[in-house]
Amino acid sequence: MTNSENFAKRYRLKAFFVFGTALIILFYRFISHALFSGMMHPVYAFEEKEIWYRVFLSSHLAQFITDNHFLSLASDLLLFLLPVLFLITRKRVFAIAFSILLLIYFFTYNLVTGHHYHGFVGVILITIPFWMKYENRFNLLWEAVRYYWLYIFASAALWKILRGSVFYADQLSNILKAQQLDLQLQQPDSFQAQVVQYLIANPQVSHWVLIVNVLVQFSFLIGFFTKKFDTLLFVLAIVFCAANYFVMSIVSAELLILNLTLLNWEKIETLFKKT
Amino acid sequence: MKTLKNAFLFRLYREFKLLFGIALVFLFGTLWFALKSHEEFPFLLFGMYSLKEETHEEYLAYSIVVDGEEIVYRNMNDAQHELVATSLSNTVAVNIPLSNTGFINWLKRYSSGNKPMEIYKLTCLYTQEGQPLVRKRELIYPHDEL
Repeated sequence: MTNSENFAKRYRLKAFFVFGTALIILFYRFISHALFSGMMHPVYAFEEKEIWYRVFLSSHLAQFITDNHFLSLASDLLLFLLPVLFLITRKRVFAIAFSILLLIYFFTYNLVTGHHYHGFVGVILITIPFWMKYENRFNLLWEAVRYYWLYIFASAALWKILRGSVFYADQLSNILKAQQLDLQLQQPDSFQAQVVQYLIANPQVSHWVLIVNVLVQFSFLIGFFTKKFDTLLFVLAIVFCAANYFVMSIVSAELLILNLTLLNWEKIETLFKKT
Repeated sequence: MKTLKNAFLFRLYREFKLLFGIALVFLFGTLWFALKSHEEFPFLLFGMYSLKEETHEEYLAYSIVVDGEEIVYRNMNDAQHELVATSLSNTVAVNIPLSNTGFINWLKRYSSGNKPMEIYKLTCLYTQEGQPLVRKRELIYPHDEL
């Protein structure tokens, strides 16, 4: 098999996983009434500080889409159709259009909530390598996305170390008081609420939880120097996101799409050949 | 020298100059905004709760009651929860009046299907055992029907 045939196979496999996962994420958002039409003609009540959010808001593109029922439905439909079309035809124009529409959705959703949620950025980023036609450029962009995934974790650890919050014994306990108040008020008997209550009442235990959390994030720095530990980092990312959701109710599952860049695709290809 | 040549940025410079330029802008942009502790898209900062969280005497929560029944946030999907709870707390936080605004009409439409809705602000404090106690339950919507 020639190199280009090899690349074409791996490219198809990666496309299948990336766009397949993106479709699952979008479907979950669709049934959560959180895509364009599901938001039911939202209002844009918040002033924005960031330049690109201000530019996007003043362009009235978000309002134009969500105020028009048919246009918002059509945009939702396109969010599902574009990745499917890309997977079938592998025409780059569909991948580019998909990334752009995802970006528009990302801005729109964040403008409505007034909170700049980062979790969705992974879905946008990982589609960008598929804009490329040539193997070399695709691989370099794929690698760049991998570095971005490492940056997310490593920088989170560095922020906590440099700002000193990791050394503050009450840090996690205090975060939980604000973050999990709804849970504790509404479902105080649930197992999750009981764990949260224990961590709030025992700051020394929650401090250790925070330290372990920072160590896990910090370990992603190794990925900048070697790919030897990518499988371990792949597992750690999943454990981190699951624990983060359980303890803090922070949803970072959508970011996990970037975990695909840590996979050993040679092995996956072999696995697929066998099956 | 061999290690340097294999370094990602070096390969990028050699093989894909445009991406190398973008990567440099991204690196310096992120560093610049990180130093200013200010986020500016696309230079996203992933602090993940890195700011020191002081102990507060009181904590705020919002309770939405639709047709006499309280919405349990955890029964919502996450994206939906974010839309309802975050936008509500942000609206109150920036002092946007709740009555007669487009926001409340949307919130009613979105979370209750236009059924009668009440919103309460709950001021809570924590016990030594880590349990929250509601100190004050204040009706913040609707005002005028009080």
